Amino acid sequence: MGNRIKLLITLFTILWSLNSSAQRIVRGKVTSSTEGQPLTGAYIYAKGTHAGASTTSDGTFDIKVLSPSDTLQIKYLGYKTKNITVNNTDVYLPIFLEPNRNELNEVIVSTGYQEIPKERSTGSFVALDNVLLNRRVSTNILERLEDITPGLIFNKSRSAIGTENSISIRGQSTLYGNTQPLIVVDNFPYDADISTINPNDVESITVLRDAAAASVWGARAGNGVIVITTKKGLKDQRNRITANANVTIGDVEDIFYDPLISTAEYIEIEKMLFAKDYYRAQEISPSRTALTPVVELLIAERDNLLPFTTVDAQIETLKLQDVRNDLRRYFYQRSINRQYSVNLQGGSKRQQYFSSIGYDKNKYSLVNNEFERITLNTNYNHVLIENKLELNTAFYFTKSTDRRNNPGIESLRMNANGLYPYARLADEVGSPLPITKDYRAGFVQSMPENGLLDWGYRPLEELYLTNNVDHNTQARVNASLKYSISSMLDAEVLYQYSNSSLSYENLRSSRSYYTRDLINEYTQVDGNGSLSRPIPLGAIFDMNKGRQIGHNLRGQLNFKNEWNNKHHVSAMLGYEIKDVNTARNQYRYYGYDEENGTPSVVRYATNFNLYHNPQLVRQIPYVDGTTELSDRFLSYYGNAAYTYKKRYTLSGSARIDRSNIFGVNINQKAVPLWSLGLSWNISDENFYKVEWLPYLKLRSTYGYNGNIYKDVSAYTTANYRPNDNNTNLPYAIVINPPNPDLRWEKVRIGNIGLDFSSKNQVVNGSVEFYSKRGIDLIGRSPFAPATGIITFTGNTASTSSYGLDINLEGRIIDKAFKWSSNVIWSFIRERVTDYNIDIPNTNYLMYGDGGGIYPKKGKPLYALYSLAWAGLDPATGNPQGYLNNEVSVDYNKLLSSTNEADLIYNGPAQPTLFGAIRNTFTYKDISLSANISFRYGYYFRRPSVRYNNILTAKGGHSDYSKRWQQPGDEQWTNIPSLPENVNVNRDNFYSLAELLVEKGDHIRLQDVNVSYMLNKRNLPKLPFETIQLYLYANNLGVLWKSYDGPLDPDYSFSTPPPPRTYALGLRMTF
Amino acid sequence: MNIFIATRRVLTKLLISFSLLSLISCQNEFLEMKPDKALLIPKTLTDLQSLLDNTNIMNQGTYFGLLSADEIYIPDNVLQSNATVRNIYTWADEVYEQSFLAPDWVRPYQQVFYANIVLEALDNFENEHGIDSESSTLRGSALFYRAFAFYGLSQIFAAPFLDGSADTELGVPILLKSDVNQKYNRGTLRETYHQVINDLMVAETLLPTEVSYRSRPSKIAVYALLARVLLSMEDFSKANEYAKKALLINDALIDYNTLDSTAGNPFPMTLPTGNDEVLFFSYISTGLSSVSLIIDSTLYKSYDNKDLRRVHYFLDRGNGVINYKGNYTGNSFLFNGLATDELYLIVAECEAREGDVALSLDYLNKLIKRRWRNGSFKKYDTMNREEAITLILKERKKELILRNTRWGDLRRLNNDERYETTLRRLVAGASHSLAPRDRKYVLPIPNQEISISGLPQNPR
Repeated sequence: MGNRIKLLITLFTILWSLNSSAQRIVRGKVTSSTEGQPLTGAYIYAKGTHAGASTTSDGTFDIKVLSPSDTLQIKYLGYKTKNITVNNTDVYLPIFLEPNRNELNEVIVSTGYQEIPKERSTGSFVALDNVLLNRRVSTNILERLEDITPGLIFNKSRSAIGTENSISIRGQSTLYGNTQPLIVVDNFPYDADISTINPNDVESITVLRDAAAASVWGARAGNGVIVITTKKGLKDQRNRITANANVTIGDVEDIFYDPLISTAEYIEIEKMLFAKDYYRAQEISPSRTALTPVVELLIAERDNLLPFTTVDAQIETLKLQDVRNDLRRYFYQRSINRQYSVNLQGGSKRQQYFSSIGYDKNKYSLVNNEFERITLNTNYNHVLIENKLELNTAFYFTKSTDRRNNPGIESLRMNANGLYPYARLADEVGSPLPITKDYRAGFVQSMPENGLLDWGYRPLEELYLTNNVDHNTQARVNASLKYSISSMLDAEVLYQYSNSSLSYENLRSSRSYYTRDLINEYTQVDGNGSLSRPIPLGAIFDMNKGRQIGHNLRGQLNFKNEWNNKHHVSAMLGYEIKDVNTARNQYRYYGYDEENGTPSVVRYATNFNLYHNPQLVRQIPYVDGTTELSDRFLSYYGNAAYTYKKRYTLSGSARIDRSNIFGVNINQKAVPLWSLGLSWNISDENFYKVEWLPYLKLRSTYGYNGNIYKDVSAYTTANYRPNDNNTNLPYAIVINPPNPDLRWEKVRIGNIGLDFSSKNQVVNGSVEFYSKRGIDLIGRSPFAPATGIITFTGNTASTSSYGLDINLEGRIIDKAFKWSSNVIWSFIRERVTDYNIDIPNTNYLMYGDGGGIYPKKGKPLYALYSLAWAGLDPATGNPQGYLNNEVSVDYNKLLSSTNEADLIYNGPAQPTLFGAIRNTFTYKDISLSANISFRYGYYFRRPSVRYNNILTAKGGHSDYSKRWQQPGDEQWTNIPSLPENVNVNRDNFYSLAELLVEKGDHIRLQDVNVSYMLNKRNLPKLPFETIQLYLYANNLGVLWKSYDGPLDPDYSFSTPPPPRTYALGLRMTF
Repeated sequence: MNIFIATRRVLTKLLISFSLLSLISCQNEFLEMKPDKALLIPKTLTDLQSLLDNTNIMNQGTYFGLLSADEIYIPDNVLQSNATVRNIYTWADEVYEQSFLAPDWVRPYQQVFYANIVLEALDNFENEHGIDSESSTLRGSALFYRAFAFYGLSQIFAAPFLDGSADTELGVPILLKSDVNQKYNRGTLRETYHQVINDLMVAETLLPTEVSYRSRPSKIAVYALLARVLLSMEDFSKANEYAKKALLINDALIDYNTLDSTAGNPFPMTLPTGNDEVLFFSYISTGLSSVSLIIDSTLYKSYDNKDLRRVHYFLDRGNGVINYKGNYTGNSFLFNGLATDELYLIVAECEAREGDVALSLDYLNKLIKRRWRNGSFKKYDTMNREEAITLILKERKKELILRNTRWGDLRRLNNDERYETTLRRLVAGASHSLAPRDRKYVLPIPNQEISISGLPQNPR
C-alpha cells in the first residue's frame, strides 16, 4: 500500500513538472468561414492543459497550450466543432468555423425519458428549437406551436368552442376519452395549467407523433406527446444574461361580427307580437317577468296611460339605438400585453446554472379584465464526482392572477333572452343607465319606497362592483441524481414534487346587482308589513379553493455501449410511480362585511316565499361542497435500440401502466403497450451513389399507445349529494350502470418516414406516412330508456385514419441576401370504423359537426351533413325538401328520417389538408419572416334566420330582412317566409338544408415577424453583446377563401375571429 | 478510494432496495384509492337509503295526462312556442318532435332502475348480514316506488284496464333487474297490473305503518295506492277495502277554514310532515309556468261561493284568467302523491257502486264539510244510487283538480256510457276533440325506445 502511494506521488510530481514546464500561451481569432464575422463566445478547449477559454466580442482569445504540441477544440453553437493541432511555431491562430448546415442529423430529440440523436431514432419526432419558438410573441407557450409543427392542428371548429388551445396531433383517435396531447415538462407529465409556464424559459419542444416516439408514455400517449424542455446552464459557458421585453397591442374584438337584425326590425317584430297578444302571459305573470321598454310603452298606450304620439315618438328614437355601440365604447378596449423576462445562464465543468424571472401583465380587450403572472425558475446542476455522480435540482415558481370582472356581451341578458338591441348603457355624459333585466320596470321602480334595496341593473356600474379573480400559484421542485456505475451503465433517480393552489374568488359587493337581487328576492314581509332579510345586507363572497399535490418518482437504468465501431446498443429500464391528489372546497359567505372580513349566519334549509312572487318557495342557495380526486399510476417501462454500422437501427419499447380506475379489478387496470421500429440510413450504403441527395434515411415503426377514460366503471357507481331540494336530506345519484367488460382505449400506429437532404443542404426535409387505428374506444350510444338509462358508455367504437406529413426546408438564396422557405403540409383522412348505433338523421345533421359526439360508421367523427333543398314554395315561401324524391314540406318527417339516403354527407367538419409556408428573408442584420397558413378540405354551416327566435322576441340573424315576403320573391331569395306560428321543425329543416353548407377552404396570412439585430462587433460601443429589436404582427387576416360571405370559415359560430395584434420587443444579451 | 467504493455500494443498495420495495409493497393498496372521494358502489343501507331519497327521481310523477285532460286550458301563445305540449294538448297524431325523450316514459323507468339496484344490493346485504328491520323497510320502499312507477306508466302508455281485454291489450315493459342489457317486451296489460299489485302486497308486509318523511313509502301509502289501482280496475269492493284500511290508520282532513287564502301557497309544505292529509309525497314539474295553466271557467264556476276551495285552490287574475295555487306540495310544484281526501272519495264511490248510498254520502259529507265555510255546508241527503255516483264523480273532479288523477278517471269512466266525456279544444281557431274510448287515450312511446328495443308502438 505504502509503495503504491509513493509511486502515485512520484508519477504526479513528474506529470505536474512536465506540465508546468512546457506551457505557453497562444492567441487566435475565431471567425465564420462563410461570412467572415468574428464569433463571440466560442469556446476553446486545450486538450493537453485542460484549459478553457472563450472568445471576446471581436472573436479573439488566448489560451494556455502544451508545448511542443497540443490540440485545441473549438465549439460554437450552430457551427461544426473543429480540432486543431497547435505546433510550437504557432503564435497566432486564425480559426474559421464552418456553419453547421447538417443540423438535421445533429438534432437531439427528447422523449422526456431520454435524449436520442435523431440520426439513430426510428420514430416520428418534430424538434422545435428556441429560435423558432421565439418567432412568435405570446403569453402561452402552446400557442407558439401553431403552424410550425407538421401534423399538429389547433381545432377551431364547433367541437373546440369554449376550449382554449384545443390541439390535435394527427387527428383524434378517441370519441369520449381525453382528446388532448400529453404535455411533459422537464421529464414529467405536467398536470397543472400550461399557462403557468413562461415561454421565455423554454429551450426546446419535441413533439412525439408515433408509437415508437410516444409509447414510452404508455397509457397517456394516445393523442401524441408534447415534450417541453426548459433552459439549463451549459458546461463551460460563461455567464450570460438575456433580457427580453415586449408589448403587444391588440385591436378590439369585432362585436358586430355576428350579423343581427336591425333595431328597427326588432322593434317592428315586437309590435307585431304585441298585436298578437304574445306578451300577455308575461304581463300577468306573478313573477313580474321583465318586458322590454318598447312592450311597456305599447302596454301604456293600450291602457291609455300614454297617448299614441308620445309612444310612437319614443319608439322611433329607440330605433336609432344599437347597444353594440355602447358596448364597444364602454365594455371593450384595445388589449395590451406586456412581457418582461431576464435570465442568467452559465456554467463550468462542475456546476451549471440557469435562473430566470419573468413578469407578464395583460390587459384584455374587455375593460377591467386582466392577467398577471410572475415566474421564477432556477436550475442547478452539480457534478459531485466527476464522470460518476451528478445532482440536478430545479425549482419553479409561478403566481398568476386572472381578473374577470367584465363577463362581456354574453352576460347582458333580459330574462333568459339576449338583451334588447336598443338598450342604453350610458347617458350622454357617460353615467351608467339601468336596463331591464329580470323584472318589470314599474316593479323595480317602486322598490325603494317599499323599503327594499334598489333593484335596478346598471351594466356599466357592475363592471366595478365585483372582484372576480382566479389565483393560481404553483411551485415545483425537481431533483435528480445520476450515477454512472460504469462507462456503459448509469442509474438515475428522478423526483418531482409539485404543489399548485388554484383559487377562484368572486366577491360581489353589497352594491352589485347579484347581491341586491338575492337579498331583495328573499326579503320577507310579515303580517304588519315590516320587512326582514333572511339574506343579510353585505357582500356575497364565493370561494372555490383547490390545491393539487403531485409526486412523481422514477428510477431508471440506462445502458449504452459500442463495439468495434459497428454495434451500438442503447437501452433503458425504469419504474415510475405517480400520485396526483386534487382537492377543492367551495363555499359562500352571505352578508360579508368587506371592511372587516366577517361573514353573517344565514338559515339554510328553511323555506322562504320570494318577494317578487310569493308563490315561489325557495331556500337560500347553498353552494358549499368539496371534492377530492386522486390520480395514481404505477408503471414499468423499457426500451432498447440496436444500431449496426450506423446504418441499421432496430428499436423496441414496452410499457405497462396500472391506474386507480374505480371498481375494476387489478388485472384489468394494467394495460401493456409496446412498439417496434426500424431505420436504415440508405445514403451510408456503399452502393448509394446519388450525389445530389447525400442524405437519405428510411424509417418505420409500429406499435400501440393508450388513452384513458376514468369515468366508467365495472360496477354500478353512485355519487353522494348533500341536500335534496325537497327533504334537505343527503341523497345519491346513480352515475353509471355497471360495465364489466370495460377496457382501456388503445391506439395502434404505423409510421413510415423518409428523411433527406440535398447537396449542400439546399433542400432538407422529411415525408411521413402514418396510419392510426383507435381500438376499444369508449362510445356513448343512445339506449332504450326503459332500462333506466338513456345512454350507455362502453368500449364499443373504433376509428381509423391515415395521413401524410411533409416538412420541407429550402434555402432558395444563400448569399448576403438570404431567402429560405419552410413548408409544412399535412393531409389526414379520418373515419369511424365501428359504431353500430343508428340514430335518427337529425342527430347527425344538428350535431355531427362537433356540437355533440354522434359518430357515424364510415364517416369522420366530425362531419357535416345536410338535407336536400328543393327551394322555396312560390306560393307560401315555405322551405321545401325531398321525401322519397317528392318535394315535401313535412318537416317532421324530413328531419326524423332514419333512411341513410335522405342524408347528404357534405364532408369533414375539420380541415383535412393543412399547413403553412414560412418565408424568411435576411439581409445582414435584418430579417423578415411571414407565415402563411392554409386549411382545406372541410365544410361549415353558415347561420341564417331562425323564426323560432324571431317569434319569441329573441331577435335573430340579419337574413330576416332578405326573406321571402310575396310570390315572386323566390326568384331572388332562398330565405323562407315568416311563419304564422313557431315551427321549430321548419326552422331546423331550413338551417340544416344543403344551401347553407359552405366550403371552409382558405388561406390566411397568420403573422409577420421583422427583426433587427445589433452586434457588438458592428458597434463596439454597444453595452450589450447583441440587441435585437423585433416587431411581430399576428392574426393578420384571410387572404383567400372559397366561400364568399362575410364570415371567417374558422369562426363561423358567432365568436368573432381573434383580433389583430401588434408586438414590439427588445431582446438583449450581455 | 474507499470512500468512493463505499458510496458506490450504498447507492447500489439504495437503488436495489428502492426497486424491490416499489415492486412488491403496497402496490394494490396504492391503486385501491378511489379516483373521486364522493363515489360509491351502493352497498350499505345508508347508500341505498340515499338512492331512494333522491326525490328528484323517485318522487316525481308523470304529467302528460294532466296536459291531455279537461281541467285546464293553455293559451295559444304558450302553445305556439312549445310544439310537444301543443301536440299532447290537442291529441295530435304525431306527438313528439324527433328526438324528444318523453319524461313520462324516461323518469318512471329511472325509478324502476333505482328500485332494482336497491333490491339487488339488498339481496347481497341480507345474504351477508341477515335481514333486519331497516333492510326490510328499504326493500318495501323499493317495491312501492317500482309499483308507483309501473302504475304511472300504465296510465299514459297502456290502454285502460278492462277485464275482458286485459289479456290481449299490451302492457308496459316490466323490468325486474337492473341489468341494462336485459331483453324485455311489453307483456299484457294484466301482467302489468298484476306486477303492480304483487309488489304492493309484498311491500305491505315490510313497511312501517307510517313514516316521518312523507317522501318515503309506508304501509298506509301502500293501502292508498292499492285503492287507487284497484279503482282504476273497477274492482270496487277491494278498492273500498284498502281505502278503508288506510283511513283506519289516518283519516285526518284539513279544515280549510284554518287556512289563509291570501297566501301564495295556502297549504303547508308537505315535507317532512307539514300536511296531515298527505300519505305519500310526489310532485310534477310540467316545465310550464302556473300562469300558462288556466282553469276551465265552467269548472271554476262550479265551486260554490261558500266552498273555500274556490279561494284556496284558485287565483282569479281577471280577464277570465284563473290560475291554480292549491298545490298540496306547499310550493309551486303540482302534487300527484297520495292523500286522505282521495280515499274518502274512493270509499264514497265504491259504497255507492255497491249500493250503500247512505254510507257513501256519509264519507262524502265528512270530506266536503271540511272544505266549506264553517256552518255553511248542508249535508247531502237521500238520493238514489245513480244520483249519488254522479254527485261523487263531480265532487271527485272538484276535489282532486290538478292532482293528476283526472286522466285516469276519464279513461275509466269512458267505459260506461253514462259517465263518458268528449273532450274539446280550440287552439288558434282550430277545434280538436277526443271521443270516449279513442285510441288516443294511449300516448305513443318515444322514438328512441321503439327504434332501439323494438317494442310495438301504440297505434294512434
